[in-house]
Amino acid sequence: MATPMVAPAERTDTELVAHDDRPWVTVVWNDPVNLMSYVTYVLQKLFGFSRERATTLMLDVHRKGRATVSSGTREKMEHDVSRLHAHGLWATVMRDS
Amino acid sequence: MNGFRRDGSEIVAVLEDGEAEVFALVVGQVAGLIEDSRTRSGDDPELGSNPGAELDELLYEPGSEGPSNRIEIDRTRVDSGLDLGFGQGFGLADPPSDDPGDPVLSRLFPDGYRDDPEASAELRSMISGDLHTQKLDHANTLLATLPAGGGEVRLDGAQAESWLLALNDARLALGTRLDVTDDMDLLEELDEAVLADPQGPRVLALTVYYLLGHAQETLVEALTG
Repeated sequence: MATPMVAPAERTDTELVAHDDRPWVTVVWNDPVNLMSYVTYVLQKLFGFSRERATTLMLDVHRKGRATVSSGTREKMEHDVSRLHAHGLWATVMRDS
Repeated sequence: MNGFRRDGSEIVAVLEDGEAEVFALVVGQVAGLIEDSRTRSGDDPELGSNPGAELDELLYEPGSEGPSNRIEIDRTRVDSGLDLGFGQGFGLADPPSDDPGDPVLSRLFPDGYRDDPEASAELRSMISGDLHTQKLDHANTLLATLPAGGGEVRLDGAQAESWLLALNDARLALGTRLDVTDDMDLLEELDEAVLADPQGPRVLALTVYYLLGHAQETLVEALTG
Protein backbone atom coordinates (compact mmCIF):
# COMPACT_ATOMS: atom_id res chain seq x y z
CA MET A 1 0.00 0.00 0.00
CA ALA A 2 1.54 3.25 -1.13
CA THR A 3 -0.60 5.58 0.90
CA PRO A 4 -0.77 5.06 4.65
CA MET A 5 -4.49 4.58 5.02
CA VAL A 6 -4.29 2.74 8.29
CA ALA A 7 -5.53 4.39 11.45
CA PRO A 8 -2.81 5.76 13.72
CA ALA A 9 -3.69 3.10 16.24
CA GLU A 10 -2.59 0.44 13.80
CA ARG A 11 0.47 2.24 12.51
CA THR A 12 3.69 0.43 13.12
CA ASP A 13 6.04 2.86 11.41
CA THR A 14 7.15 4.88 14.40
CA GLU A 15 9.58 6.90 12.28
CA LEU A 16 6.66 8.29 10.40
CA VAL A 17 4.81 9.17 13.59
CA ALA A 18 7.85 10.90 15.02
CA HIS A 19 7.91 13.40 12.17
CA ASP A 20 4.19 13.75 12.09
CA ASP A 21 2.75 17.23 12.07
CA ARG A 22 -0.90 16.33 12.00
CA PRO A 23 -2.91 17.92 14.83
CA TRP A 24 -3.69 16.09 18.02
CA VAL A 25 -7.23 14.97 18.74
CA THR A 26 -9.22 13.52 21.60
CA VAL A 27 -11.15 10.39 20.65
CA VAL A 28 -13.97 8.87 22.68
CA TRP A 29 -14.38 5.11 22.23
CA ASN A 30 -17.47 2.96 22.51
CA ASP A 31 -17.96 0.94 25.65
CA PRO A 32 -20.85 -1.31 26.64
CA VAL A 33 -21.54 0.22 30.03
CA ASN A 34 -21.92 3.98 29.69
CA LEU A 35 -25.52 5.05 29.10
CA MET A 36 -26.20 6.96 25.89
CA SER A 37 -27.93 9.75 27.79
CA TYR A 38 -24.98 9.99 30.16
CA VAL A 39 -22.42 10.22 27.35
CA THR A 40 -24.46 13.00 25.73
CA TYR A 41 -24.68 14.81 29.06
CA VAL A 42 -20.92 14.60 29.66
CA LEU A 43 -20.05 15.82 26.15
CA GLN A 44 -22.35 18.82 26.57
CA LYS A 45 -20.97 19.61 29.99
CA LEU A 46 -17.26 19.27 29.21
CA PHE A 47 -17.16 20.76 25.73
CA GLY A 48 -20.16 23.08 25.68
CA PHE A 49 -21.75 21.27 22.73
CA SER A 50 -25.40 21.79 21.92
CA ARG A 51 -27.64 18.87 22.79
CA GLU A 52 -27.92 18.09 19.08
CA ARG A 53 -24.15 18.11 18.49
CA ALA A 54 -23.46 16.06 21.60
CA THR A 55 -26.11 13.53 20.56
CA THR A 56 -24.56 13.21 17.08
CA LEU A 57 -21.14 12.55 18.59
CA MET A 58 -22.59 10.08 21.08
CA LEU A 59 -24.29 8.18 18.26
CA ASP A 60 -20.99 8.11 16.34
CA VAL A 61 -19.36 6.59 19.40
CA HIS A 62 -22.15 4.08 19.74
CA ARG A 63 -22.50 3.09 16.06
CA LYS A 64 -19.06 3.69 14.58
CA GLY A 65 -17.15 2.83 17.71
CA ARG A 66 -15.46 6.19 18.11
CA ALA A 67 -15.80 9.95 17.70
CA THR A 68 -13.35 12.83 17.74
CA VAL A 69 -14.54 15.34 20.30
CA SER A 70 -11.74 17.91 20.34
CA SER A 71 -8.53 18.88 18.59
CA GLY A 72 -5.61 21.13 19.44
CA THR A 73 -2.28 20.95 21.20
CA ARG A 74 -1.15 17.72 22.73
CA GLU A 75 -1.28 19.25 26.21
CA LYS A 76 -4.85 20.40 25.69
CA MET A 77 -5.85 16.95 24.45
CA GLU A 78 -4.28 15.31 27.49
CA HIS A 79 -6.28 17.69 29.65
CA ASP A 80 -9.48 16.77 27.79
CA VAL A 81 -8.72 13.06 28.13
CA SER A 82 -8.18 13.42 31.87
CA ARG A 83 -11.53 15.21 32.23
CA LEU A 84 -13.25 12.48 30.22
CA HIS A 85 -11.61 9.79 32.34
CA ALA A 86 -12.81 11.60 35.46
CA HIS A 87 -16.31 11.18 34.03
CA GLY A 88 -15.79 7.52 33.21
CA LEU A 89 -15.66 7.85 29.43
CA TRP A 90 -13.06 5.85 27.57
CA ALA A 91 -10.95 8.43 25.71
CA THR A 92 -7.47 8.63 24.23
CA VAL A 93 -5.12 11.22 22.74
CA MET A 94 -4.26 10.55 19.10
CA ARG A 95 -2.87 12.10 15.99
CA ASP A 96 -5.65 13.14 13.65
CA SER A 97 -6.13 10.53 10.95
CA MET B 1 -37.33 3.48 43.49
CA ASN B 2 -39.23 5.69 41.08
CA GLY B 3 -36.03 7.43 40.25
CA PHE B 4 -34.76 10.95 40.57
CA ARG B 5 -36.79 14.05 39.76
CA ARG B 6 -36.15 17.75 39.86
CA ASP B 7 -37.72 19.82 42.62
CA GLY B 8 -36.87 23.46 42.04
CA SER B 9 -33.09 23.73 42.23
CA GLU B 10 -32.77 20.35 43.91
CA ILE B 11 -32.76 16.75 42.73
CA VAL B 12 -34.84 14.35 44.77
CA ALA B 13 -35.44 10.62 45.03
CA VAL B 14 -36.90 8.28 47.59
CA LEU B 15 -34.82 5.19 48.20
CA GLU B 16 -36.04 2.05 49.79
CA ASP B 17 -34.05 0.47 52.54
CA GLY B 18 -32.52 -2.22 50.37
CA GLU B 19 -31.68 0.24 47.62
CA ALA B 20 -29.84 2.58 49.97
CA GLU B 21 -27.92 -0.37 51.30
CA VAL B 22 -26.98 -1.61 47.86
CA PHE B 23 -25.77 1.84 46.79
CA ALA B 24 -23.65 2.11 49.93
CA LEU B 25 -22.32 -1.37 49.38
CA VAL B 26 -21.23 -1.07 45.79
CA VAL B 27 -20.08 2.56 45.88
CA GLY B 28 -18.18 1.85 49.09
CA GLN B 29 -16.48 -1.13 47.51
CA VAL B 30 -15.45 0.78 44.43
CA ALA B 31 -14.10 3.56 46.66
CA GLY B 32 -12.17 0.96 48.63
CA LEU B 33 -10.70 -0.42 45.45
CA ILE B 34 -9.66 3.06 44.30
CA GLU B 35 -8.26 3.87 47.72
CA ASP B 36 -6.25 0.66 47.76
CA SER B 37 -4.82 1.28 44.33
CA ARG B 38 -3.88 4.84 45.28
CA THR B 39 -2.14 3.72 48.43
CA ARG B 40 -0.34 1.01 46.54
CA SER B 41 0.74 3.23 43.71
CA GLY B 42 1.99 5.77 46.22
CA ASP B 43 0.13 8.67 44.67
CA ASP B 44 -0.60 10.10 48.04
CA PRO B 45 1.91 9.05 50.67
CA GLU B 46 0.70 11.87 52.91
CA LEU B 47 -2.60 10.14 53.57
CA GLY B 48 -3.17 10.90 57.22
CA SER B 49 -6.57 9.44 57.80
CA ASN B 50 -7.88 6.14 56.68
CA PRO B 51 -10.96 6.78 54.58
CA GLY B 52 -11.19 3.05 54.02
CA ALA B 53 -12.04 2.53 57.66
CA GLU B 54 -14.71 5.21 57.48
CA LEU B 55 -16.19 3.52 54.45
CA ASP B 56 -16.24 0.22 56.25
CA GLU B 57 -18.12 1.85 59.11
CA LEU B 58 -20.58 3.33 56.67
CA LEU B 59 -21.03 0.00 55.02
CA TYR B 60 -21.76 -1.58 58.34
CA GLU B 61 -24.10 1.22 59.41
CA PRO B 62 -26.31 -0.26 62.09
CA GLY B 63 -30.03 0.25 61.92
CA SER B 64 -30.29 -0.67 58.30
CA GLU B 65 -31.90 -3.98 59.05
CA GLY B 66 -35.09 -5.12 57.43
CA PRO B 67 -35.96 -7.00 54.30
CA SER B 68 -36.20 -5.48 50.88
CA ASN B 69 -39.03 -6.92 48.86
CA ARG B 70 -38.59 -4.52 46.03
CA ILE B 71 -35.37 -5.70 44.47
CA GLU B 72 -35.18 -9.03 46.20
CA ILE B 73 -31.64 -8.67 47.35
CA ASP B 74 -30.72 -11.51 49.65
CA ARG B 75 -29.67 -9.43 52.62
CA THR B 76 -27.95 -12.18 54.50
CA ARG B 77 -25.74 -12.84 51.55
CA VAL B 78 -25.07 -9.13 51.05
CA ASP B 79 -24.21 -8.67 54.70
CA SER B 80 -22.03 -11.67 55.08
CA GLY B 81 -20.30 -11.27 51.76
CA LEU B 82 -20.10 -7.50 51.67
CA ASP B 83 -18.55 -8.10 48.34
CA LEU B 84 -21.49 -8.91 46.13
CA GLY B 85 -20.50 -12.53 46.17
CA PHE B 86 -17.08 -11.61 44.98
CA GLY B 87 -15.50 -14.36 46.97
CA GLN B 88 -17.50 -16.57 44.64
CA GLY B 89 -16.12 -15.30 41.44
CA PHE B 90 -16.35 -11.61 40.55
CA GLY B 91 -15.56 -9.45 43.48
CA LEU B 92 -14.81 -5.79 43.62
CA ALA B 93 -13.49 -6.02 47.13
CA ASP B 94 -11.32 -9.00 46.58
CA PRO B 95 -9.93 -8.73 43.10
CA PRO B 96 -6.45 -9.79 42.19
CA SER B 97 -5.72 -6.39 43.64
CA ASP B 98 -1.95 -6.59 43.49
CA ASP B 99 -2.29 -7.13 39.82
CA PRO B 100 -1.90 -3.81 38.02
CA GLY B 101 -3.85 -5.38 35.19
CA ASP B 102 -7.05 -5.62 37.22
CA PRO B 103 -9.64 -4.91 34.51
CA VAL B 104 -11.82 -2.82 36.84
CA LEU B 105 -8.97 -0.45 37.65
CA SER B 106 -7.99 -0.41 33.99
CA ARG B 107 -11.50 0.67 33.14
CA LEU B 108 -11.71 3.33 35.87
CA PHE B 109 -8.24 4.64 35.00
CA PRO B 110 -7.75 3.79 31.33
CA ASP B 111 -4.67 4.41 29.23
CA GLY B 112 -4.58 7.88 27.73
CA TYR B 113 -2.92 6.61 24.55
CA ARG B 114 -4.05 3.61 22.61
CA ASP B 115 -0.80 2.13 21.40
CA ASP B 116 1.85 4.04 23.26
CA PRO B 117 2.48 2.54 26.70
CA GLU B 118 5.26 5.02 27.38
CA ALA B 119 3.12 8.09 26.70
CA SER B 120 0.26 6.46 28.63
CA ALA B 121 2.48 5.89 31.65
CA GLU B 122 3.74 9.45 31.52
CA LEU B 123 0.24 10.89 31.33
CA ARG B 124 -0.92 8.56 34.08
CA SER B 125 1.83 9.79 36.38
CA MET B 126 0.60 13.35 35.86
CA ILE B 127 -3.15 12.87 36.24
CA SER B 128 -3.84 9.74 38.27
CA GLY B 129 -3.51 11.46 41.64
CA ASP B 130 -6.19 13.98 40.75
CA LEU B 131 -8.40 11.32 39.19
CA HIS B 132 -8.21 9.16 42.31
CA THR B 133 -9.04 12.13 44.52
CA GLN B 134 -11.98 13.21 42.36
CA LYS B 135 -13.48 9.74 42.20
CA LEU B 136 -13.12 9.25 45.95
CA ASP B 137 -14.66 12.67 46.64
CA HIS B 138 -17.69 11.81 44.53
CA ALA B 139 -18.08 8.42 46.21
CA ASN B 140 -17.78 9.99 49.65
CA THR B 141 -20.36 12.66 48.78
CA LEU B 142 -22.78 9.93 47.74
CA LEU B 143 -22.14 7.93 50.90
CA ALA B 144 -22.49 11.03 53.10
CA THR B 145 -25.83 12.06 51.56
CA LEU B 146 -27.30 8.56 51.38
CA PRO B 147 -30.05 8.04 53.96
CA ALA B 148 -29.14 4.94 55.96
CA GLY B 149 -32.09 2.62 55.93
CA GLY B 150 -33.64 4.39 52.98
CA GLY B 151 -35.72 7.54 52.68
CA GLU B 152 -35.56 10.79 50.78
CA VAL B 153 -32.39 11.93 49.10
CA ARG B 154 -32.36 15.66 48.40
CA LEU B 155 -29.34 16.92 46.49
CA ASP B 156 -28.07 20.29 45.36
CA GLY B 157 -26.50 20.56 41.91
CA ALA B 158 -22.97 19.68 42.98
CA GLN B 159 -24.11 16.73 45.07
CA ALA B 160 -26.26 15.43 42.22
CA GLU B 161 -23.24 15.66 39.94
CA SER B 162 -21.21 13.63 42.44
CA TRP B 163 -23.95 11.03 42.61
CA LEU B 164 -24.00 10.80 38.84
CA LEU B 165 -20.26 10.21 38.59
CA ALA B 166 -20.10 7.84 41.56
CA LEU B 167 -22.99 5.77 40.19
CA ASN B 168 -21.23 5.68 36.84
CA ASP B 169 -17.99 4.44 38.38
CA ALA B 170 -19.97 1.78 40.23
CA ARG B 171 -21.60 0.68 36.97
CA LEU B 172 -18.26 0.64 35.17
CA ALA B 173 -16.77 -1.52 37.91
CA LEU B 174 -19.69 -3.92 38.11
CA GLY B 175 -20.17 -4.00 34.33
CA THR B 176 -16.53 -4.92 33.89
CA ARG B 177 -16.77 -7.69 36.47
CA LEU B 178 -19.94 -8.96 34.77
CA ASP B 179 -18.39 -8.84 31.29
CA VAL B 180 -21.27 -6.72 30.05
CA THR B 181 -21.34 -6.46 26.28
CA ASP B 182 -22.98 -4.04 23.87
CA ASP B 183 -25.61 -6.46 22.62
CA MET B 184 -26.42 -7.92 26.02
CA ASP B 185 -30.09 -7.81 26.99
CA LEU B 186 -29.89 -7.31 30.70
CA LEU B 187 -33.25 -8.86 31.52
CA GLU B 188 -32.54 -11.92 29.37
CA GLU B 189 -29.18 -12.21 31.03
CA LEU B 190 -30.85 -12.04 34.41
CA ASP B 191 -33.35 -14.75 33.42
CA GLU B 192 -30.51 -17.01 32.36
CA ALA B 193 -28.59 -16.35 35.55
CA VAL B 194 -31.68 -17.16 37.63
CA LEU B 195 -32.15 -20.42 35.74
CA ALA B 196 -28.50 -21.34 36.19
CA ASP B 197 -28.38 -20.53 39.89
CA PRO B 198 -31.14 -18.48 41.52
CA GLN B 199 -28.98 -17.90 44.59
CA GLY B 200 -25.84 -17.23 42.63
CA PRO B 201 -23.74 -14.11 42.84
CA ARG B 202 -24.39 -13.28 39.20
CA VAL B 203 -28.11 -12.82 39.88
CA LEU B 204 -27.32 -10.42 42.69
CA ALA B 205 -24.73 -8.48 40.70
CA LEU B 206 -26.96 -8.20 37.61
CA THR B 207 -29.83 -6.97 39.77
CA VAL B 208 -27.62 -4.33 41.35
CA TYR B 209 -26.27 -3.33 37.94
CA TYR B 210 -29.81 -2.90 36.65
CA LEU B 211 -30.78 -0.84 39.68
CA LEU B 212 -27.74 1.43 39.33
CA GLY B 213 -28.54 1.96 35.65
CA HIS B 214 -32.10 2.96 36.43
CA ALA B 215 -30.94 5.41 39.09
CA GLN B 216 -28.35 6.92 36.77
CA GLU B 217 -30.74 7.21 33.83
CA THR B 218 -33.34 9.08 35.86
CA LEU B 219 -30.62 11.25 37.41
CA VAL B 220 -29.42 12.35 33.95
CA GLU B 221 -33.02 13.12 33.01
CA ALA B 222 -33.55 15.12 36.18
CA LEU B 223 -30.35 17.09 35.61
CA THR B 224 -31.05 17.87 31.96
CA GLY B 225 -34.85 17.90 31.81
